[in-house]
Amino acid sequence: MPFVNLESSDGDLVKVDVDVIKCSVTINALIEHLGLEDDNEVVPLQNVGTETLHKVLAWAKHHKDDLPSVDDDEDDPPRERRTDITTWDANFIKMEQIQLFDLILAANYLDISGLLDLGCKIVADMIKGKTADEIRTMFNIVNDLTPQEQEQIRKENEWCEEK
Amino acid sequence: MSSGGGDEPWKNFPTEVVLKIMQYLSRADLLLSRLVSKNFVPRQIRAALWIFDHSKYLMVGLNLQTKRTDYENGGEFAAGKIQGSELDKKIVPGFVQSHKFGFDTGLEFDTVPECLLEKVRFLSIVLSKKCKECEVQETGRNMRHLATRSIYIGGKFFFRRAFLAGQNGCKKPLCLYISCTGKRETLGMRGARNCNKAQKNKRHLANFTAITDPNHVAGETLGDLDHFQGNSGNLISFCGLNADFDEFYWMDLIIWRNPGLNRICLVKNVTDEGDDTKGKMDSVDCNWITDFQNLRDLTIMNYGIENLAKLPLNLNHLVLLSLVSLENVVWMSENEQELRNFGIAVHEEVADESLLLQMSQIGKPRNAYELVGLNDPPNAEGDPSTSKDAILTPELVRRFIHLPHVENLLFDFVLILSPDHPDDQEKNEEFLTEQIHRLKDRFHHLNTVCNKTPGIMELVIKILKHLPRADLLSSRLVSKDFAPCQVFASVEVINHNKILTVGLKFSGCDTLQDLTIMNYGTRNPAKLPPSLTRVTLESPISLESLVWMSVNLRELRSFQVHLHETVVDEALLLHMAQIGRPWNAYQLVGRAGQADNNAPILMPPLIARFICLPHVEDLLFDLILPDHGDDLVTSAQLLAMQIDRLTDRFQFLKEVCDNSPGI
Repeated sequence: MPFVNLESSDGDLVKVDVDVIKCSVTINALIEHLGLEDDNEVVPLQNVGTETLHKVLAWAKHHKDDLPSVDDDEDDPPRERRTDITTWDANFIKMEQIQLFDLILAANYLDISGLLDLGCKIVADMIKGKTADEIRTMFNIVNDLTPQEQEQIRKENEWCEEK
Repeated sequence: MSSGGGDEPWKNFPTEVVLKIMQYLSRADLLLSRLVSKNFVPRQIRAALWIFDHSKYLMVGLNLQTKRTDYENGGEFAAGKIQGSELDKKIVPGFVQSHKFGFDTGLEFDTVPECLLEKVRFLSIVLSKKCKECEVQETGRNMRHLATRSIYIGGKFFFRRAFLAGQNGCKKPLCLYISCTGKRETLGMRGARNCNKAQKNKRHLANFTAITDPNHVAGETLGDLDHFQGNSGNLISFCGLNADFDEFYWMDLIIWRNPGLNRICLVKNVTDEGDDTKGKMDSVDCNWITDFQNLRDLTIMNYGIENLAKLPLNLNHLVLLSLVSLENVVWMSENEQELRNFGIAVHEEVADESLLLQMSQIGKPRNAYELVGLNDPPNAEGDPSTSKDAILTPELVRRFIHLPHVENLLFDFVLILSPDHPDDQEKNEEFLTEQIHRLKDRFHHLNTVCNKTPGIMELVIKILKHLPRADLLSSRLVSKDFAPCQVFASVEVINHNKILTVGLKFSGCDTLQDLTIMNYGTRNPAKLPPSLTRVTLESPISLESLVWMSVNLRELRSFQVHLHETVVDEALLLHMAQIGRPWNAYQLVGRAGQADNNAPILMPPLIARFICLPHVEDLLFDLILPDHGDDLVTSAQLLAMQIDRLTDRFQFLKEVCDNSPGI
């Protein structure tokens, strides 16, 4: 079965090479367990919009021939938190924050570990070195800590910040 | 996917995604993230308390699992679990054609291409002195290894095996598993005829008889290890059971040859049967890993540990289930900057005053003495200015709990069984009780620390289920809340065939299962083996059987019975009364004595014998009302009378519950 039809949450159908989308554990499982042998069968993806789906497929196509990495081994907890990102990935991931978040959620839903890792690394990079205020502004987060609570946390953090 | 959350898209991220993002942040960023908002980093703390006898010590544990819940200590041997896998045939086609990989395949090291050894990523070594008969019985497949590599000595097997495991396309990394097990002493060779399988194959027989000395097997294994050491270069993980390697010089070279090695797990089995070195603890000197900057994950269990302050400073995972003294805990809290998972067995003493003093003098941490509950460093004369005992203070615990980068935190408090530490293995109950009372304060402190920690969403304290009954019983003496217990009571009426079952169920936690009998008549329940931990008898049993079980089923964790309030075997009741086990057998069924004609009933003291025991986690009595044939009117009247009687019984049960501490 060379192709599978994916239906986005917007109702659009996208025909995709099975070899391309095999990186998605979710879709792989659907194909294997539901026995989608007919090219006309449709896999509904109710949590992934069309735009995001195209992004996912672009990433999957580029990484089609990648070997699964050792760190993907479920029996083995992650050792090193590597932060290296290839140039292609760096260019690919340049997008608005809302698109990035949607992409991460889609990668999580479709269980594509490589893409999820990439998204998480990028968000981590966005957080690195920022103050709490800057992070709140960046992600539009309401500050629900009282000044006393903030002071308490600062005090607790103090002993390791003094280095 | 639409982010939909509108104003705060961050809230749309499920916990696992947030945690994944946090993995890529440095400690400083993680600390700062606490200031963003209360729920910016989702946090769960699960605290588990347990008590277990461990070698010479009693350990009482506090386990705080914060953000990650998937950590298992046993994971170190995950590499060894890979079964039925196959190597990438492109690597060494000739070798792969003639070998299968997995647990079932013995490995001749001299036939393994060096290029293959070089690619091994995981190495697991088991050096055990334990009798292997048990393993042979458990896994008959090992017989093949025995045939090729073992000798049969005085009823004990001694053998060596090794295998490689990998998978197509290297999705799973290549693993090498080597074991050398058996008894070291030579007890006399009984000859090849004891192994039938060996006789069937001349080659096997040749190998078999060629080994005349069990030390040859050990020597051969060590030779293989040397061979591997010389060829390895891509190891990332090493697990060793009972490894000593001549004071770890072998490890030194392995570390030097494998710059990618980042995980070491060393476990000493201290319970080997017949091991004449029992009680003797080999040591790991941290000096040999001090320059090992790539090490991220270190586990040491049951070895003595020397020079802990020489540990490399960039560990992510550190589990030391060997005694750690307090000054080392302080040192680690200050210097291990990248800890994500941290588990230690703390002995509440200061063994190296000079380390504490040094930390105090350089001001890192500035309050080293305070952190172990001592007010000041020694005065000019060298005498400590206070005579207080050092303890794991809440402040020291807070240094770990409050750090968002520590995802899993485990403290085992080590109690000394006897003041004649460390050699006396006998428990001194009085001495132990003193320590347990002292621990009570410690748990109170910890509870306070947890309650004051912002972001804690869940605090669960439970006693783990595999405790020996004796320890569970003694845990009740600590305090009312030491082993909190929840009882959920539900009343149900079930029309079950010809008998009406009215149940009151006390549910605790999931438990072990052992014996279930449903809808069969049960005869001679007094013959049930006393080792049962779970009993479910959905067939009527009589009261004297229940009395017997309350005395003899000492390891019960789950107990569910259908009870017919009669005595059908008076002789058993009499026998128990005569031997005094229990001394009040008749009273427990509502009778003053043998001659008393009162109809027996399920008395509160009999129920209490089960309810009040902390080792019974799940308790169900179904009180059975007898069937009365086809006369519906009479049946209804009788039923009403019986239900009235049951009401009294439930009143009893309520009283018992109300008076049971911890419920």
